[in-house]
Amino acid sequence: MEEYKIDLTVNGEKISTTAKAEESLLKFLRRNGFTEVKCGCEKGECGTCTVILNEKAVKSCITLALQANHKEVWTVKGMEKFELGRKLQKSFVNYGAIQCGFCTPGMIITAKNYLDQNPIPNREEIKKAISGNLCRCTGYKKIVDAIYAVAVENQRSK
Amino acid sequence: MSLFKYISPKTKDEVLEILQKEKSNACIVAGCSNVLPNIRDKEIKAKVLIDITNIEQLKGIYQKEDKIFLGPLTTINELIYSDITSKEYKVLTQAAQEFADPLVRNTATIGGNLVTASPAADIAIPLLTLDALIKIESTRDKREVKLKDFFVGPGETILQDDEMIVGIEFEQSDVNKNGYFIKIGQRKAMAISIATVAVNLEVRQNKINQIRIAAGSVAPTPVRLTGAESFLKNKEINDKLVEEAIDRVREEVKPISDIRASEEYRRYISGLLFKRAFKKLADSSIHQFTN
Amino acid sequence: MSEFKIVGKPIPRDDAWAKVTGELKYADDFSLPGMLYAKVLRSKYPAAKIISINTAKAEKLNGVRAVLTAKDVPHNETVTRFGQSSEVGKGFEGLYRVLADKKVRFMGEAVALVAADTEEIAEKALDLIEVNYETLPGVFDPVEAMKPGAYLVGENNSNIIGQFGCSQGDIIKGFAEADIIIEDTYKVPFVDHAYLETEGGIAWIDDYGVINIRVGSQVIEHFRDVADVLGLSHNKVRYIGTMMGGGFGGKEDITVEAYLALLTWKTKKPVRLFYTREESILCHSKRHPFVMKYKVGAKKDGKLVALNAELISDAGAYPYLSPWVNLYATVNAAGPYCIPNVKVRTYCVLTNNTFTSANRGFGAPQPNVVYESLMDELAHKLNISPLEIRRRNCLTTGKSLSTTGQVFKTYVALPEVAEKAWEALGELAKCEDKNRKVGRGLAIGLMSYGRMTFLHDSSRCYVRLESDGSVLIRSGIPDLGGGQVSLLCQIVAEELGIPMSKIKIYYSDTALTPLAGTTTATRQTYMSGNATLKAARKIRKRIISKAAELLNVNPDKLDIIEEKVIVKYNQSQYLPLVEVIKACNTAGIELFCEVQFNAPFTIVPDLSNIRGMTFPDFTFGAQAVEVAVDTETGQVEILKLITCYDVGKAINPLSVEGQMEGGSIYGMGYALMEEVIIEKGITMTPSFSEYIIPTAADVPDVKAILVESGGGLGPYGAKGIGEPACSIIAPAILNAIYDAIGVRIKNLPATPEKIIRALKKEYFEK
Repeated sequence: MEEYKIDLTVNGEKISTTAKAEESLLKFLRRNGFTEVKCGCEKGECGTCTVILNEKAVKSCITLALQANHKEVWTVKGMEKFELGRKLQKSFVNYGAIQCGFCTPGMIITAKNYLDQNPIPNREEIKKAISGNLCRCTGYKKIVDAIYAVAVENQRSK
Repeated sequence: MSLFKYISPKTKDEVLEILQKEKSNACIVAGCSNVLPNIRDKEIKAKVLIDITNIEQLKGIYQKEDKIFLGPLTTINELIYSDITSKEYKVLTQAAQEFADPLVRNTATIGGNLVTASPAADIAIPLLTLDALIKIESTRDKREVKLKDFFVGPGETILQDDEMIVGIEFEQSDVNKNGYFIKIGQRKAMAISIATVAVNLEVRQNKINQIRIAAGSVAPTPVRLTGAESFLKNKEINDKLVEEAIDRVREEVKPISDIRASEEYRRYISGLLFKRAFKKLADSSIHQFTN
Repeated sequence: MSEFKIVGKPIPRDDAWAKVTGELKYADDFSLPGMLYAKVLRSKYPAAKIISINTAKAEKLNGVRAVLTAKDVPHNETVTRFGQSSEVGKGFEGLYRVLADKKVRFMGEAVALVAADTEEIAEKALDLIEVNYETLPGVFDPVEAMKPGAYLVGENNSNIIGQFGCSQGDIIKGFAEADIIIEDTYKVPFVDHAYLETEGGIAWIDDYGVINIRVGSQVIEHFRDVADVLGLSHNKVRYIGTMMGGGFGGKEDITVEAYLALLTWKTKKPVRLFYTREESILCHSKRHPFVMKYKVGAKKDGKLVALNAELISDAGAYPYLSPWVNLYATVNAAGPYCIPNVKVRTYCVLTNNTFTSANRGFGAPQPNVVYESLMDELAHKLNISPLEIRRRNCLTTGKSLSTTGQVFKTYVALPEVAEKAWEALGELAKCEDKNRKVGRGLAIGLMSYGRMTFLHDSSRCYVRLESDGSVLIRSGIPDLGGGQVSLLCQIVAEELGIPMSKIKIYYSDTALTPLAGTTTATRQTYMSGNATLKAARKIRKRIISKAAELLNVNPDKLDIIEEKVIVKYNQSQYLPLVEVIKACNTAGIELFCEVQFNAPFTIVPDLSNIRGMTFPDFTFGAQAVEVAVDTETGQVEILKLITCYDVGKAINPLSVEGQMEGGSIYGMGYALMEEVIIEKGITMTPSFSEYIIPTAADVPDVKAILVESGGGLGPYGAKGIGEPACSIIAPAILNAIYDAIGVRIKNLPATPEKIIRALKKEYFEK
């Protein structure tokens, strides 16, 4: 079995290990203990596995682990290191944007990455921004509420 | 157990060398949105995965004399956010905005969308109406083909095992700056097209000087509807002409029925999408003229 | 208690922080050293004889630890149960086969199991198992399967596995009196639960020799069924239920548990099995498709006089919960209306399609589509508004259900919710595009909460007040994401006057937590809520009584607020809760208890004519929508969606709204896009790019209106909301489409293609 050396940082922590050529970043992360990255379809069709890879939100199930070599990965567990990440987590909690919670890690990552680029979106823009992340429980209403509340806060503190 | 190998070359030439050596045993990986699912479904076996994401030469959107150059590694989101494409080539950004979802658009590339050669390849449709030129290289040759001649069948292109796309180019012409793209899917995001239509149009004195029409998900490959195009060329725009052209479009497409829609609906909707795109363009062109 | 401290407040759930930080360990976020990976070999055909199975090559593969087929299963054939402990008779118990034996009945049926050192080896081993099939014709349409001489799916001489009926009055007389009669047939498709977490778990044998199964399950009482499969005593199998990434009824039947138990029993090693998304769509249960033939008669003034319904459902290849689902459909078939003459006949039929079972709504959403469409048609024909026709006919307090005659003793909110929902639509959206037509639709409905009363349902809960004033709760309650677990904490916090942060709950463990029954049938707020309330109040009473003694006041004068036992109206007079606890402990007063709450019990009804009480109570609701239909493409956009339910009492309004909003979108998917397409037994939509559910870009901002009548049987007058929330949105949407463009879709989902084919008949028929 051929394995390749891989060095990356996950949530600011350096990791030096190996990965198989065809291993997805999702499987790699889960195998290395980052089980907060969820597996919902392994085909890029649900968004539960979303992580930030070099400042872009990507679906880790359709990214090779080795494509993260020498790169920076952030999962939901790293969000507390960012003010925006903490704000989003708090807002999701307070607005009841969580039910089963299985889409939540991906949803928060997508929201964080989106608000980093576009801090004051309207509700329709938020809906488009999270349209790659399925949620079966909430009907999205409270998720949009939670993200929008952070956007409003951003506007106020501008 | 792993039958796969991984190589991450730094230059285009390295990639070409590897392709030359490995031929059909090689599989280029960029955005990866299809490659990993295909590996999982065992459709790709025993391959050398050539990760080209770190090759700077294959990235970027540039203006080159009278042409626009797109690196094959240009991501779909780059098309949306680039000043060059988003200001003047709306047909491309419209398609990009309808492409998959914002996350996939962060990684999926133009080159990947073209080589996958899905009949539903959303980016291929506006590139067809922009009459894009595909630049292809191998260690033995360099060639250029029009995108309309690039696709062979579902999942098949003219690319040889040792070749890769190194660039996509289209002209900075008036016709290319006046385009419109429409997609019908089963939902508003993460939708595989039921049908897509792009139209690029140049009107002179209410007459159609140039027109290109392309459609997706209505034939074995993304297609140019050259029959409808030649029917329209040099004609004066009026409602009757449009109605006739709709019929031509519906006759020219060759859709199939699948779980997303029937052949009949696809035929119907291609005509409709053509009408809507054409009217958008014609209305604004004529408007510009009379003003 | 007059004023609530925590109940009724929109507070963050107990599990919320663990979920936003990624700390929560779902079923698949756990592993054990030496764990094996399991895979299931599945049938390639929907109907075939198994001539032979050869596992020799697979067994020889390096790293393979077990390969099991039907012959290795101690009790391969048993009956489906869903956690009931009372006897319910043969009418509800169908064959459950762990692994296919001699014959396969649907594509994807489990034929063999493999456990290996890695997932890759397990997958490879599957390829090495040789199964020799002889294909059989099969039958794929329930109407065909009912006919004499049809291919027999199972071993019995008929494919009909259940027949249900109810009637009142005389329909012949009723239709004779009618001024207007509408007859129509409606069809609804297979639907997938599409929870984002697929089915899965991990099993191991613990130090006591007990098989532990850590799994996402709505019914941890299946430990008994798994023990039966292995021929073990029930106390040798333990379920540890995890928080689920969604359930919706799909984790109500056994999924991976029997496989895991067999493999861990055989190998004596921990084993992990998770379904892929494809497996989940292909092999686990679906919502029942129904063919529903309806005839309704009304007087000129819109008053209903008769209803005759024949419902045929596709049970797929095995019964699972089909009989129960069909009973629900039968009871719901006349909707929330007063109709003097009613006859309903329901047939539940085996086919060689994927099996069907529980799916949010459990048989209610299907007939709801029809009767609410027919009510709308009546309204249009008689030129009465959608609201008015419902006002004239809907059930009110004291009336009885037109199917079973069950009398509604508590407040029936139908007129109120219908009006509120309809009015909340506000002004009609203006639309300048001539190709976009706007329309509105209304639907009302009722749905039971709590299990069928003849199941003799109960729930237990244990509460213990610690000496430092913190609380430990133990309840077998499974949480599928609805906030079931948090709800119990909230009740205890309310009753014992402590903050949520001082409560620790252990849940969903058959060895350690008292069994609380299934998280199904919208029953947990009602059942486990009441059990927990009962337990908390017992302890509260002991505390108050001790404090009364210490303070020398009447117990009636005391309340527990913010960890103090206070004298009401004189809040300066109080004792810290911990002081009272200390005094109780010194006096040997028990500050813990385990209680059981029982639902009302009835006997098993005559299934051919179900009469009287079958459910403890019902939840009433209304949904109103405004849509814009593109008359050239057929695309439907939902502009407004109002959902209004009498929830009795919203213990946590955030969770209740969440159910109502989420339920609405679950139903919106049913109306507009969702369908598991199964062609001749073959699933054509085995992924999320083929089985389409709504994305955020597709949905309106659902507006939830909560009516709190206090009339429910749950704690503080609460009713259940989980399933009712999704059960009537589909007909509201269909009615709005009709209002917009005059096209009535009778075959879900209402795709753009179906709409355009109806609108542009001349084009498509040429």
